[in-house]
Amino acid sequence: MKQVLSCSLLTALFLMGACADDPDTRTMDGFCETALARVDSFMATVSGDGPEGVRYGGMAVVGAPAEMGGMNAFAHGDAGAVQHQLFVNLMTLVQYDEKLEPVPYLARSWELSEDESELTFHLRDDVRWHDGEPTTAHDVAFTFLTAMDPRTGFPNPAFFQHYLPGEEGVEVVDSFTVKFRFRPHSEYMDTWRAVAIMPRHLLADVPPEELARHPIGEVCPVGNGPFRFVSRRPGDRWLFEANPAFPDGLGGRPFLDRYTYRVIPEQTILLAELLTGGVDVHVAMFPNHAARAEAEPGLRVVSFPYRSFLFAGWNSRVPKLSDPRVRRALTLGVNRGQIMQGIHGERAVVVNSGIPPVHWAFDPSLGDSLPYDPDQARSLLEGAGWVDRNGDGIRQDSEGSPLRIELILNQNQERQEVAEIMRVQLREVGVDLRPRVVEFATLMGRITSRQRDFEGVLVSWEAEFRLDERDQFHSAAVDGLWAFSGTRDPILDRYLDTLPIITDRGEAIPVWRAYQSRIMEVQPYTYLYSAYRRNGVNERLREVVMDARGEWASIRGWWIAPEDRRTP
Amino acid sequence: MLVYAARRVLAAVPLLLGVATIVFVVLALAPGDPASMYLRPGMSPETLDQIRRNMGLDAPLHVQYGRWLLSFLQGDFGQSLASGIPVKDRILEVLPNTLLLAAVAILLAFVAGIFLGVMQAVRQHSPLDSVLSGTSLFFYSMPSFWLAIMMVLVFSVNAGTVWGWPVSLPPSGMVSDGYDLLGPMARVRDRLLHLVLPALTLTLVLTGGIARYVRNSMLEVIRQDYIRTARAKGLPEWQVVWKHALRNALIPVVTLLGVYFPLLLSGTVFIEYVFAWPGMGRLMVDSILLEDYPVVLAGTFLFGGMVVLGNLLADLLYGVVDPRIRRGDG
Amino acid sequence: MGSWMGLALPGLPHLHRGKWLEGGVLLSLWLGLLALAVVRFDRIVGAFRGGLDERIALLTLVLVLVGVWAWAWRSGSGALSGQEAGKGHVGRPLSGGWAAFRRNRMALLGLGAAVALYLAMLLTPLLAPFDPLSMPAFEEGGDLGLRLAPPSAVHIMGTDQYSRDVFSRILYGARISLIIVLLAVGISVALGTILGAVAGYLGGIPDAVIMRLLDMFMAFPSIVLLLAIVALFEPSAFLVIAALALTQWPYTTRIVRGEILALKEREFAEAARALAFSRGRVLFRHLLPNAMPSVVVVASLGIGNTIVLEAGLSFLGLGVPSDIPSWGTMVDQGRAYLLDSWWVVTFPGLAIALAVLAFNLLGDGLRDALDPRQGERLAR
Repeated sequence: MKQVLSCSLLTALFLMGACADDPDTRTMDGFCETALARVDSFMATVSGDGPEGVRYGGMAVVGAPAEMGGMNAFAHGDAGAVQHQLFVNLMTLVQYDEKLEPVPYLARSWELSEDESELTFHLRDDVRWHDGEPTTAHDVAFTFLTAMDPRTGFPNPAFFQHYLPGEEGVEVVDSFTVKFRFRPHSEYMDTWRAVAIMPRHLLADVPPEELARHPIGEVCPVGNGPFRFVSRRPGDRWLFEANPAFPDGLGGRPFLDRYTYRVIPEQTILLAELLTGGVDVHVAMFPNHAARAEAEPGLRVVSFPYRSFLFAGWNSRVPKLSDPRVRRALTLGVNRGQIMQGIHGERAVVVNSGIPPVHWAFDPSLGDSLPYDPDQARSLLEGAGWVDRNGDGIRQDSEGSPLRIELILNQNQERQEVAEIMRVQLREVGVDLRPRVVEFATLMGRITSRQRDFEGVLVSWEAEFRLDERDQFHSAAVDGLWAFSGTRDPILDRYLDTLPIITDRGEAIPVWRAYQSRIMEVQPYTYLYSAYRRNGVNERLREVVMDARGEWASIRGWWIAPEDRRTP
Repeated sequence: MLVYAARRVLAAVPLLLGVATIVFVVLALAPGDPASMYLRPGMSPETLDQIRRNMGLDAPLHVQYGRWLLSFLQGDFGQSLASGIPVKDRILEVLPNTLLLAAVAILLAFVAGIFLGVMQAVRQHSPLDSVLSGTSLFFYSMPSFWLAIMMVLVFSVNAGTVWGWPVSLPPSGMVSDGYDLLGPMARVRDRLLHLVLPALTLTLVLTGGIARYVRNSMLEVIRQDYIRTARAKGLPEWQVVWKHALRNALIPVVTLLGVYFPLLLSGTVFIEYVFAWPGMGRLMVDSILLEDYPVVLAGTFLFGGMVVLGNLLADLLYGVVDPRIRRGDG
Repeated sequence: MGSWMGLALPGLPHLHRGKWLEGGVLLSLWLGLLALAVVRFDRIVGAFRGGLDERIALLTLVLVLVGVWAWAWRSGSGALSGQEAGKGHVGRPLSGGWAAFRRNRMALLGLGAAVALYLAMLLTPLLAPFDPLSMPAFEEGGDLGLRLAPPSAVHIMGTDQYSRDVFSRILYGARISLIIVLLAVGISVALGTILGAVAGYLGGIPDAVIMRLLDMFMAFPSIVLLLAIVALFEPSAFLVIAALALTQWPYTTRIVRGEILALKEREFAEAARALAFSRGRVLFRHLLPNAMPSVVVVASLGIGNTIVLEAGLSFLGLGVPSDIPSWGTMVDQGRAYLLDSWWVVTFPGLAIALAVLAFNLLGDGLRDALDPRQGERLAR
């Protein structure tokens, strides 16, 4: 009797789970129900006879260690979510090609006025939202106005900093022509590569305060990109399907029938999935895992230099870190090249400023000017009054308080390793560095809050193509969220004011170089290195091109030969 | 008895609210800020404040608490801070997965534990007893996350390539990609394959405790008179052990179920994390790290409720089995 | 004849007389410790000038040598047949179970392992072949090839990704792991015992208050509370220990309260009350000592559970921050290397499992020896 009972209970659970797993339209509120129903009926009208060809079909799975935000450009600004907005579910006006030059996407063409203050986009007229509504200039204007509205809490306001606010900044000329007005800026196009256009017809009635948590972001996204949203289980997976209505002028529907984004938090298990064929792409691999995947037949590792870099930021508001000599010594006392070598092998580049190696303003010749030089570090510290007065190997100031610096970081394998090695190396020059792991929200709170309750922080930073470090280093922004180093330097201020308005790259390069030299003198941070991104890819998935634009930049072209496809 | 049970359940409600309140206070006192997950370079403090306002985090704590309590008492668990999805939907989505995992593991663990326990009791102090208890205790002593990773190494990564086994088990998740395109039989097979590793790991961890318990219970029963009588009647030994003795030895073991099941729900946290199993444990861990307090509070309430129910069930069963136990002892 | 042989080589007479197990243990302990003293001679000499740590290690070494010798002498010369020297005195109410405990081979093994672990903790400065913190690969002029070296004669458990010696780190890590756990269990058991005794003895309102509190904590999924406390506040040793203790005390309270309730009705308690002894005296002099066996059992089983919990916290990156990581932290930081350098994480993982196993065996043995019926209430 007991067995019977538990068995039927078990079966019931099993069925419950089995039913719950079907891609469903969640009945959480009216919006999603109607939106998804309209998407389905529109998709049914266009999917009749798709293009023929060996490349069409198949499913690909990308596995990642972390969940991404969602498909709401007004709210979700994390790297994974942004890439899905740009390349998978939504569209931008322009995209970058391999040389990082803008090419048409949602916009067919564009022109800049003579005085470089007006930009007019001519949009494609054959792009439809996944529910069948055409994408028009009104959507673009809506996106711009909503993002500019402070009530929205748009995460990347810097993209619109140089635009005239509100209605002055945008004009809908006709349904497929839109004009923007702004102050001249060197990277005026980058905004339109980075901000995806959102559907006005679905969101126009939503108060801006509620947009960030609107179901369109995470429950039932309705986009216009090459893949349409099908289902999602938070923390587990997102499922997308090819959008058959994607304009032929942009290559038509993507080759893959389906694309799944899976979250597998434990990296070793994620690697196991790649090795056993459960996922086709493993993004953000550990360096040593990449070596293992490379040795495996049938797998390859796609790695490319990226826009992110690692640095230890020093809080110059703290007296012992206010002396640039001390900060220089902290950099000279760390063997950055060796740490990089130890962790990443050849797949990283030492950096000396916040300009990533993929950026056109990066100056590789600066590489050797801050070498590993413990002796110079020692003498700099001595010069700044830090001497080991009691023979314990740690320097003290004249009052006898030791040179102890707390370095906060969050749980992350690579950063924990770097901090550990920095601790050992800095000990040799008499600095007592204390790495301290805190939870991410706490870390952010400590470095961005007004109290700036920290000494050093080890973080990884992802720069945009449109570089602007004003919020980190400009004196005027010293009370802003990101000025955690507390830098005030008139020379830096001048560069930071000038750089954004030099529109000619040839003219800008010498200024960028001077700026970088000044950063190296002020040493607000100990810049470590910019590591390549590493992604394990199963060779059955073809034409996977990944570069500084991101992992998903070429997803429209990914394809799987019929014989390699998973049998469903 | 019904009255007693009803009283216990009613008494549990303020208790659980107390538990949830403690969790709320802990989360509120924590230094981190749930809004900081939206921080981006170039953002101004005003924008951050706006985001906070949009999330409803600008209100003073007691107001936030009052809001939560009010809607909670009306049966509304609120919305997740992180995603805006109703908490109820989030929990209903993952709870069956955890229940499934826990139910399978408990069933297997009880079957294996009872079998091992009986074997040990019959051969008390023999080398078999020592080896079995040593082995089961060894797995019981292992940190489950560690065992889980090892299981993946053996049965998934190395299964095909190194050992040459025909099947390599899927290392994570509940179903394969394209599960919804499978036929009904293939679906069941796919689910079973995905269930094997997490359930087996959990079973290995649990079996030791149960076997131990069964062994002690059996030892006590075997010494009783009626067993001696049964033997004297000339019944075959296996019948004496597996029919007469076990039946009585199992009675107290059944009550263990009530205690184990709710504990398991929190015990699956690490298993779910390693095997990327979309269940309650992972939901709770993720939500705690994001300080998504509506989810954490609802989950705590649910967990706590199960513990209370489980204990009540165990007490009632005890009462049925052994009338000497006085009720109302706490 | 046997006795003078034992003077020179403890254990030899036992072997001579066919007591293989005892003789073998004694002889290998003696020889092993002497070998250690020879190999680490320079450190022993240095210990006189060294820090507290080294001196404690030296003292331990001497005491253990003397202890082994004395044990061998007493049991070898046949002066003592029934009771073992030293170890038998666990306290009055416990002594009755010793005979039962001795018969349980697994429990003896657990006791041996626990004692060995404890000794290893004290002897660490002498045992560890390398400095647990030094990273030869990353020091000036270091060679990156020293990282992730597989186990060899020099590094018997290999080196980790920083080129540190895994064996030495496990030895030092044992201290962190065990100190955290012992403190947490100590606090929770002390707190739990007092609350349980008060609740059980006084009854009435104090009992009701304590039991409701206990119900609340029991209803807590302990991992949720632990995670919430440790993850959201900055992890520190204090926080981790407090959180661990906070989630563990109800188990002790429940058992102690039950024991006291039962003992209260017994004749000796009645007698004490009849003699008009004060309440405190009855409770602390007469009732509590008799409840101690259960407390010892809960404590030793609790140590096992707490080691696993602490390791779990560390696994999620929330362990105690320290130069020398606990075992759990070692597993956490090394698991990225599991597939290509198994030794970095396998050995700390095994250390956790074995230590927990030792305390569980010990606890189980004690439980069986003291009161076989108790098991029911202790299921994890």
